[in-house]
Amino acid sequence: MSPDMDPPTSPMPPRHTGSVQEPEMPAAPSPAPSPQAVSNSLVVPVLIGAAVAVALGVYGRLHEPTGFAVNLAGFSSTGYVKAWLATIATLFGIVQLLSSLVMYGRLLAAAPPWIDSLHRWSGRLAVLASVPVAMHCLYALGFQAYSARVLVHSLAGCLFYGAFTTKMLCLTRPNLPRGALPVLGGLAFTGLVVLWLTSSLWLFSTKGLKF
Amino acid sequence: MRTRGPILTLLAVVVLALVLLAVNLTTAKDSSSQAAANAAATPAPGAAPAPGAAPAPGSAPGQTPGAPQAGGTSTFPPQATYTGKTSGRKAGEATVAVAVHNGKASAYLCDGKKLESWLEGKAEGSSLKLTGKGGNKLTGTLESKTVTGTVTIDGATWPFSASPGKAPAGLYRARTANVDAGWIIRQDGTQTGVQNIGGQASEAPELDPSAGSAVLGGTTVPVKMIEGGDATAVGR
Repeated sequence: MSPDMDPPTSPMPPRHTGSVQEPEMPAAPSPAPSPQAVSNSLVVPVLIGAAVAVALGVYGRLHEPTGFAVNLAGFSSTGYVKAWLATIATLFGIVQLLSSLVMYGRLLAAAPPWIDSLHRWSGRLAVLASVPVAMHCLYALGFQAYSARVLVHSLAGCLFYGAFTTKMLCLTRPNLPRGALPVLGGLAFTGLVVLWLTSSLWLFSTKGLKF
Repeated sequence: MRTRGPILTLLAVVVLALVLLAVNLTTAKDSSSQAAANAAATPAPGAAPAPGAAPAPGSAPGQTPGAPQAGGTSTFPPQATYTGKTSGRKAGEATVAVAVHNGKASAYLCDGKKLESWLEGKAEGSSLKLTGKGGNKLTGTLESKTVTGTVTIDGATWPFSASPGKAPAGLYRARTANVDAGWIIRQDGTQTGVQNIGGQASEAPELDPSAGSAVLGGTTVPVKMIEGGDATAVGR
């Protein structure tokens, strides 16, 4: 369950035999890490990730929405550009979920050697596809609460980038608690799916499926 | 030797975001300096200077109504469009849009099914006062570039809020003797419209704002973008 956090597996495999199963790495640290060190390794990434989430929300709330921002050519409207980019991000997010399940040995008996790369790169593409959408949201629309859908969407956007940041930072840390990466990946994946449901799906179902 | 991949990924995200922000800021600067130029060119006959401001012609260019205001209450710029929606309407929120032009204002509310109403009135200082058919009315205040207020249609009152939008966001109307249709295009490009054909209201067909016309009930009718104060004159 690592939406965009593709790189999750990458850090580990290199250090260990590089076997795909290594994501279970958290178990590997067992040689010595004190519980203290294990939880300490999470503190800084979580604080930074939380700061990112809050900063996005505050910026979205305080910045006066311009009601407009740069757009991509070739689509019928900005809304559809965003809806399709978000759909791409979500599809890569699903690849993230599946590939992480494989890496953790929950899906296939033997993980193919390319699964790490698949996980890393699908995550990178997912998050990069999401950036133009998020920038438009932040710059042109802002953090809004005029309906339940919009409020949930605003919150999910902050959650997603906060969880993403935390996960990226965690990947660079030793002695991670066993469940840290799956939980962070799961949070980011949840955020991404909620974002898609409250925007793209909403647009497609109310205004039609088109480009 | 820790992996640098995740950090590079984070950096890539930040760089992409900053590039987009920079492009946005540049674009916004262009359009706001253009707006400022427009504002300067139009000494705004009816554009109500803030109460208390010396009404002397040519007074304080800094007081140009179009000048961006730092938060708080502000005065309406010479030309602006706001789109948003009602809140608390049980049958589903209706879309609301207001266009302001040199102190005159037009507003349109519709639910994309059959409820719709055009209103006209004034934008003075930071306040909006518009009236429509029957006892329909809309009042609002501009604060931090967002209009909030209440709108009363057919005896029911709902609060609404609307934020500024740039074309093609706005209000559109097409009217002939037999047909009357209105659309609101929001900042995000989504639109809501209602058409009245021979007195029957229904959802309007999707409007292509660049086409300048729409096919309503089998006839092609010119569509006008409402600038403010000109909504009731369409097709008349």
